[in-house]
Amino acid sequence: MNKPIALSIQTVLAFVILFAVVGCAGRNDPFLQRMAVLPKGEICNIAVLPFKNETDYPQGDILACRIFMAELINTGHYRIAQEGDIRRIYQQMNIFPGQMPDFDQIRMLSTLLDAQLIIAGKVIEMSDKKIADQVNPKLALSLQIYEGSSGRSLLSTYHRREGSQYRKVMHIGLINTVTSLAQRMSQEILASWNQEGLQKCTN
Amino acid sequence: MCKKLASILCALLLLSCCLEATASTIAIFPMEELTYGPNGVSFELRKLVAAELGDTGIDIISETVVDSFLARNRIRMLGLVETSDLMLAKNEIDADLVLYGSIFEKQHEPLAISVTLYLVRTGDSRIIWSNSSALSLADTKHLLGISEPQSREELLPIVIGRAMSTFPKRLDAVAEEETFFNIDEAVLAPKYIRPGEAVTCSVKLNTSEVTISKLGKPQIFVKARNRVFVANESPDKLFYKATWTGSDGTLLSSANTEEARVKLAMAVPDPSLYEAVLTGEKDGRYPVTLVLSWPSGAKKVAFLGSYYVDSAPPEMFADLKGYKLHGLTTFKDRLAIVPHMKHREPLSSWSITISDKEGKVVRSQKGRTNLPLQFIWNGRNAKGKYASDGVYTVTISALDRAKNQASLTEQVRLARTAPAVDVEVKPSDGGMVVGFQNKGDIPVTYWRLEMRSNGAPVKELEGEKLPVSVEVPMVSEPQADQLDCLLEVRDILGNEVKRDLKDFFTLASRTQGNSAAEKSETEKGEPAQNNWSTEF
Repeated sequence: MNKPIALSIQTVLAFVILFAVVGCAGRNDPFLQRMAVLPKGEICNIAVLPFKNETDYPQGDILACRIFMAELINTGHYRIAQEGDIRRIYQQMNIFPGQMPDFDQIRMLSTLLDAQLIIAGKVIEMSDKKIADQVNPKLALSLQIYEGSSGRSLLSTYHRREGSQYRKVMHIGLINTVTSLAQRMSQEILASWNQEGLQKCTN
Repeated sequence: MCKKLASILCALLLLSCCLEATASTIAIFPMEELTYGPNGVSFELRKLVAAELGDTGIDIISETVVDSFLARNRIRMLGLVETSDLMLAKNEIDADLVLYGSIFEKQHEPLAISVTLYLVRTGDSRIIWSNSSALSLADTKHLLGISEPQSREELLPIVIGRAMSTFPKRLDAVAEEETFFNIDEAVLAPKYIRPGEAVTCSVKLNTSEVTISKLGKPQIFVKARNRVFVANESPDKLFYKATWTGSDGTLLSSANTEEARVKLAMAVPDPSLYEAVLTGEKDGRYPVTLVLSWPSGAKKVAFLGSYYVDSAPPEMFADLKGYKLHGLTTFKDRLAIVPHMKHREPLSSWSITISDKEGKVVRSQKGRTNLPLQFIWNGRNAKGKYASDGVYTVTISALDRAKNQASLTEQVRLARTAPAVDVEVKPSDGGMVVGFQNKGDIPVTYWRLEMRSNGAPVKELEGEKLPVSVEVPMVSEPQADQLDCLLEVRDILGNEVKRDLKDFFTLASRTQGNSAAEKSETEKGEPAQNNWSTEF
């Protein structure tokens, strides 16, 4: 082979490897704790409860919850309970905003919403402050999956990322908004749940 | 040629039919603006989204019709759409689809906009598409700065374009009519009862005419642990109700007949149910399940909640923070009463009363839910005046959630009177001995005696306990106002007395003189006259 061509191929390969290494560096997969096996059979009906906001980012709970729901529908084609229905039932059961339903209430939510799984979440960290002419958004989420019929906890996930962790080279791949970060993290969480047995809905 | 034309015409006709069949109507709700708080409105976003939908062939219902529909049905929370709202949209404005979403703009630099959109099929309230998109000005940096958006007005269309880029080109807007039987509302009350009290379960069901025509009307049972009750339709036909008591043996349902029991045993998938119908109810948690049983054999089981049978009143005791004197907690102006429960449980209400020995209430207070950490009584009555010294009864009562009552009673003593001190003067060689003694039953913890002669300090003594005796030197020529004494005494509760003893020397001399007279009189055989005074 011609030496210049071989050299250029090697250079390209080196850059590809460099991109891959840099892209993968600093990544942390979601931390997952499994309490029980997911129910057998196809899961199509899911209810996502309003997230709790433990940060001072305004509307952080609503943003994170809606973005997560959007990804849930996109990736798994699940039948998601309407947010308005969930709020109405919260009012009926006297569950206050930010309050986690108890064991019986989770079962009742499952009954009233016809949901096989209940997902609850918390926004633990959320910020996108500008520091030295650059924004590095940060987000930490904690999510739990409950079996609707029994109310027992099945999976618990903690995931924290920063926008700079997705940087590949220079500013390529960098995530500059907390909502884009939430979208990417939701995809990663759902991928990890997929590995744990949460399959897409085919109905 | 004619045949060719005919076949082309047929093909066109078929195509037009197909196009007509897939034409859907979509209602675009005003978007929720989250930038400044929940439940803001963005009409601008709706217009931009509608513009993106222009080429998709979907009929967009006019904004005026949508807005008047929302106002008419009082749909105020744009981001919290309910199934009932979607069914109304289908019935009232003939919307096959509803598109709603939210927008959030970051307030500080660099500008960032995020949009989340949902497309819902009104036939079955299913979200068939959703997408979220976010961009900041930092994301849109181009080489040489060409065509970079510089402002919100330039960035927003890009964000919406990206959000709508995955909008489905082919929509299944019409859902198949499914059979469904949903529970709209379930109320179980009361949740906490004592044995013998009644629990009522009301269930509102939501179903379609298709379901009733296909499956028929179901029999509805409510199962509470091992007991089953038939639920009957309420007179207004809105609810199904079943009522039962949490006591042994009594069954309010119509399942007392043999036929009903057999039906129950067949309907509910628990083979041991028939024998368990008449068992009594002990304290504990009772999960309640709704069982719908159709003539075809189809069943639906749904958990409705739990109720609790509780016959035990809460056990309480109290710590009284004060001095224990003669078996009673004694205080001057502050008594801390700390209630405790042996087994912590939520309460529904409590009350505390303080009454005197005649039973008259001096202070009282009531509250709901749990007991406070402590009560403080400052020794005053309800009008703010100090109560008189004496023994009082403190009674704390509480009701738990099942209305079991518990109470505790403690006696306390209020003592605000200053200590009473007896002063005794006796002559001695070269002077006199003054004795101080506590007349009351509350121990003294501090006393102080200061003697002054013509304003100059002569002697200063202090101690912690009484009785005490003090030697006082005598001068040869007694003169009025020559010796003054200041006596301070404080008891264990903090009550104090200060006595200014003027003419002390004169008094003492008189005492001495009296003593000498007493002695001579005694020598004379005549009885002595006791002139020394204990009062100042």
